[in-house]
Amino acid sequence: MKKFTKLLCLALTLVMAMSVLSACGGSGSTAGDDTTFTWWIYSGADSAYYMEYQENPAVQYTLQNTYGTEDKLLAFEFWVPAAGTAADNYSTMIASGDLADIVDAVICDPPKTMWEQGYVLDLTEYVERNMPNYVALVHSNDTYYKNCVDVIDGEEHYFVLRNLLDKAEPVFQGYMYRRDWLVKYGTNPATGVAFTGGFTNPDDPDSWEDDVVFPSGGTDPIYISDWEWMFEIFAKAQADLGIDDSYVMSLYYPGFTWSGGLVSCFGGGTNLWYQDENSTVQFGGDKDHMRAYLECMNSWYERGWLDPAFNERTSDSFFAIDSTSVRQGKVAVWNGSQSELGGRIDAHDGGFTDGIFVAGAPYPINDIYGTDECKFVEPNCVMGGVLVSNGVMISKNAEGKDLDALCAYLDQFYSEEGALLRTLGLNAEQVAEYESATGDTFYSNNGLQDGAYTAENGKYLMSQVLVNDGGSLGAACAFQKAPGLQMVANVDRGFAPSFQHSVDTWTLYPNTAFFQGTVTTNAMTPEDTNAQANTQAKLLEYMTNNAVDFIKGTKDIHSDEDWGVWCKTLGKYNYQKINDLLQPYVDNYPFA
Amino acid sequence: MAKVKQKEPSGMTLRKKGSWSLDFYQNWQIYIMLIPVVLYEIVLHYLPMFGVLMAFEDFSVSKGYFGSPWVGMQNFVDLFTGDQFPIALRNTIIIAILKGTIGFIAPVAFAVLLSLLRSKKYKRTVQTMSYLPNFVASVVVASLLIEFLGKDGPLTMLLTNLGAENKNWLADNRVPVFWVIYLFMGIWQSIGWGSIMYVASIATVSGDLQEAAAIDGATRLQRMFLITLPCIKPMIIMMMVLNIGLSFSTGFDNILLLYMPSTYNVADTVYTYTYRMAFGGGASNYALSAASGLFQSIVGTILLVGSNALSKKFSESSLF
Repeated sequence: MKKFTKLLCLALTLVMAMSVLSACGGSGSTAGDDTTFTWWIYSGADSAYYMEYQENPAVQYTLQNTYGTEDKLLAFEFWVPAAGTAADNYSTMIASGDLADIVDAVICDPPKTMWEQGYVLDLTEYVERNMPNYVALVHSNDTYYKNCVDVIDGEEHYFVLRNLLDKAEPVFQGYMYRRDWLVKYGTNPATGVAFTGGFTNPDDPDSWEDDVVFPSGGTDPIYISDWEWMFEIFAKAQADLGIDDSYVMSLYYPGFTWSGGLVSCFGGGTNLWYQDENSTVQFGGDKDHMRAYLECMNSWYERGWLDPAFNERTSDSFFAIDSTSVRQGKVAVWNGSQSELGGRIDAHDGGFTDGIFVAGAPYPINDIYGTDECKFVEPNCVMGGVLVSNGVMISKNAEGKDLDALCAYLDQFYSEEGALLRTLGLNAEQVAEYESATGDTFYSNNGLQDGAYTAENGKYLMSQVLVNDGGSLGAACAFQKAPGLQMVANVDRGFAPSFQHSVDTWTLYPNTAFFQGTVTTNAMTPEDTNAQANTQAKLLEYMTNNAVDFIKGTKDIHSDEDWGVWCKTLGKYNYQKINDLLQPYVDNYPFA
Repeated sequence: MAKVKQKEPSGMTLRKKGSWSLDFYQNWQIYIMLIPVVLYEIVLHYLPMFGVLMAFEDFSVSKGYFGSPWVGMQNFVDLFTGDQFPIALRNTIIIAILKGTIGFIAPVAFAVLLSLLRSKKYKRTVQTMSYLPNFVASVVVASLLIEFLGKDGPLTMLLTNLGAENKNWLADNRVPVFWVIYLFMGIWQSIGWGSIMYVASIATVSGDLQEAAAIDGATRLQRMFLITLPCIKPMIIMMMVLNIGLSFSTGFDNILLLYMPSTYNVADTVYTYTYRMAFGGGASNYALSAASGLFQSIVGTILLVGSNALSKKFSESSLF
């Protein structure tokens, strides 16, 4: 018995040792130590598809080939921080010096600073030797060049490999309104004839057609006066439907969004920092356009068009609208996402969403409120609209590894074929090749056996599987974490015309002013970032607490005295110092 | 009868009676068992105190403690000169007082009332049920409260039916609405768990005393005030001293979940104010956060030592 126990213990110990050892070693590829790279990415993939990012089929597809003058195989070990811990994880890496070989340049200091501090390598010689696609792209556009190249003593240096977009990406959210109520309760402003319209196919949420015309003459609400015209119709609709506690528009809780949005419709930029038409940094909180915005909101509030409890919808952590009422079909205008467009939120339950058709609205041009300078100026602060995003840097820890092979590998993503691979994923031919070579049936298992896209007339048509996917399959089947060229201009996302039109309205006016969160501010030194953040926290604290008083009429937006107190208090926080601090970044790192 | 002289272990004669070395010699096993605890305290509680340096620096993660520029008291100046700071400090003090009085008495009263129950089965059931809210995450409790006290929430409907205004009570910034809500939320969440020490302490009260008092004709109420409460007084004082020391800096996560800009004037505390100032601008200001933490720790220590001294003076019972 004793012998048996001993043998059992030995066997169990061996099993344990084997299981521990099985976790050691490489990923199974035959890449050498000098071509095996660790890669820190800001966030991983949806765990519904795979647990480790290296399982991404597009990654695996590219790793089948050899790279560099010596034709070497490469391998990657991705380091992915747990959700919400990226900043802490990055700080730990920096503090310990244990940086991955390749680092996402998302929350780091400016590349040049990182190089000066000894964290990352100067990639110039490797880029010039192995990345012809990247170098050509960088030199083809001034915005690309300024963000990708640091000129020191007249010589070009590459410290970062940026993501370059061939066109600003469409945004996924924006203002939207109930167009079905306009058809049902509105009349043509010119002729007085009732509108007609409806779904041509009851099963298709985008098959809507109508003859709605706004007072400005177009089929979309372009001006504030168009919005107010439809607000009156919406109020009539709500009264007719007997919606209790009705209001027309759900507003974010502080009464503004500091990324611009509606504030920028009044002839300026955001209520914080933005660049004007001369690329000069301005602070908008005490400008006339902010006052005009608050005047407009106050007017809408007084007329019962705004959610009376908008400032109670949330706490610090989140922006929130009254999504419950929106989903119940009680609200007519709100800021929502693509998934709420068309007839998608129709609950078919006999409630207020029955027959709903939601259309996107462009940011309106002010033609009513404030001074003349605040009127008839196109909005200029739309989220997104960037041509350059973060990319990657190579850390000092990769010194001694075969960076020629790595750069040759990464350069493929700046070619059209590689850009498609990182933007959309594999095409049908690549899927067949990949699945037969590796046995990995990820694409087939997810209905993508015909690839993630097809090429047609110079356009790349996204697979219907991806178009209809409400999750993150698109991100899971492409190598979107790789630096490279982001294909936007020639990608057809397969949207229905009405849906595409709604999405297009959100970017009707390009973002030319809002630079926060772009490469412009990402280039800031930690000291400058902190200085700006400290001032911003104080400014937002005051504005968040007091804008609501102007909107709800506790303070009089028309009173120079009340407005003077607002301006004086904001001035106390010395925002001018931050204007001066931001100006060189706007000059040197343009985002668009 | 001759006294038998106990044999001293070798080497013991070299050590003075009552000295530390003698104690170590006699109880070295106990001291070895103490090592993990000491290490734990040093590594997790004393070494991090080094981080206090951040409060006096323009701290940058990449530059570290020694590379970040020294700014002296500037972080404290930034903290104390904020427009909202006096309001936050006032609210912190008021909420701490409410928690230290009503919030402190509630578990004691609950424990005493439990001790008066005759049915053991009923007592245990009530006790167990009272522990449950302690295990519910703050974010869940806050979400429930937001739902219950929203304009259409069940509690609001109840209050409305009793004649109160129909509104979102958590958005009411009049004194003392938020304080009352917060206080009762805290009591509901911690009354059972907080009463454990008192229940245990009451269990040690001599049954003979209770019995003798009952024979002498003392009512249950009299026995509670004249026997039970005096017997657990040292425990109450110890808990009170600890409670006062911590009252300035704990339990404000619930406020963060419940407050909103329109209720900052009654709900904002030093903790939440610091959170907004340090992390609300898009970057992390660790230095300001450290300065605030140091300030709260100092106030907490003063309160702890002060309450202990007062307790020693007036009740002859103290924590240390």
